[in-house]
Amino acid sequence: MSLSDDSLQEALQRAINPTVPEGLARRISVSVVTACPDEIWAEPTETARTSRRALTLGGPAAAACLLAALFTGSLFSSDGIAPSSVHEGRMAAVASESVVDVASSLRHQPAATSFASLHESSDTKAAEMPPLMVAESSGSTENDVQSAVSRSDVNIAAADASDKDVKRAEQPRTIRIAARDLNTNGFKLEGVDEVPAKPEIYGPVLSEEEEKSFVGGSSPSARGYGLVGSFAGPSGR
Amino acid sequence: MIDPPKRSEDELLRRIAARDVFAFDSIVKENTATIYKLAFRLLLDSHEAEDACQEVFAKLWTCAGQANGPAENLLGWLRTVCTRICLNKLRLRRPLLVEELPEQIDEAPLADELLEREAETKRLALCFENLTSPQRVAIVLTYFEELPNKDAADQMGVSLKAFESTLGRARRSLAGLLKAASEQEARLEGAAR
Repeated sequence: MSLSDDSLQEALQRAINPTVPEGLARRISVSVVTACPDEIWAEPTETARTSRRALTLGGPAAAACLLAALFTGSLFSSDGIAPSSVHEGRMAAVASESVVDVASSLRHQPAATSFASLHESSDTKAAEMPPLMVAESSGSTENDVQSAVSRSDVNIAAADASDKDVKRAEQPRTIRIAARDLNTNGFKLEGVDEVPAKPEIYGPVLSEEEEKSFVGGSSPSARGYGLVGSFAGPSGR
Repeated sequence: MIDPPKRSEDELLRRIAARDVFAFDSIVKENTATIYKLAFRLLLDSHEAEDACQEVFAKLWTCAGQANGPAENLLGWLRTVCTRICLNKLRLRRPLLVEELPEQIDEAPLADELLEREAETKRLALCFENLTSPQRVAIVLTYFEELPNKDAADQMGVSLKAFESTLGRARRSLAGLLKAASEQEARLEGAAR
């Protein structure tokens, strides 16, 4: 093949012709808007990336769970200050994919109010949302945890959670995600020994049928969440 | 005379600056494929290309309406941001030293023209991957994006002379790699007989 040949361009375009991943635009749109609000936020790009990958890996439920895990300790903290509500707004928005309605309505609200708003929302998308997640951080009061557990289908025990907290998270109605050393390692899931933090190795994702049964309220399994795989957190790359 | 598409683009940008997520969504949908393909060709990694693509639109979301945001020619702005993000990613990569092209084991006979063409395409893709990062960027901006040298130099943040020199080296390297690959394939075929 001659490089001075006019066909070089055509040949190159034939040789390097990537296929655009399906749904990429939607995932980018959702993730950017939820992760890059007007508030000053340290790593919007990283957060958006995390969100998009989680959506890719396991759909909305996985995105919600993984993001919740990343923000363990601030998602449902006892103080309920602004950062918590911002995080939660993102979580909720990603979880429901109803980014416009949910994210904007939840932003700036205290965490507890946000949870309540979501549960009471008549928005169709919000109603179809997967179970909410709760992070039990060591900073939460007993009251917070009780309140959170009573309203949540998914509990996440932080690495520094007490045995009592972990025990609580092991209740049959919950998925247990023991998030440990979140910044560098993957996630340790029930029945899964170790999840390496390499984004290239993906586990099974939610099938359409599983997704339906899950949203319908049946007991989700760890596999159903598409979480049996690996995932690189913000600093895991 | 007012160009309608341009006016529509300006309107969308104004709406994005006012945090209109529908306007943002519309622009993302329209341009994702172009930007992803550019990012992929520069990075040759689908995950990294997705990251880069998202960073471009995150930049649009945060910069719209600001001095460093797009003012005119949105696609041009998106392409420039994408190229620079990818160049940064390439700079952060560890250099990959390739002494020899990886051996390709393909025992199937190349019986007809179609197979020959496929083989040639694969060979070209492999050689393209083995160019250095700046050389690959120069090739992409010239042969895929079809930018004039001056614009390509601007996107790469180098002088016109430096760009032309890089492009020349890229073409020579590609020629050398293609020749080496053809010879290697011939050797393998000979050994197999």
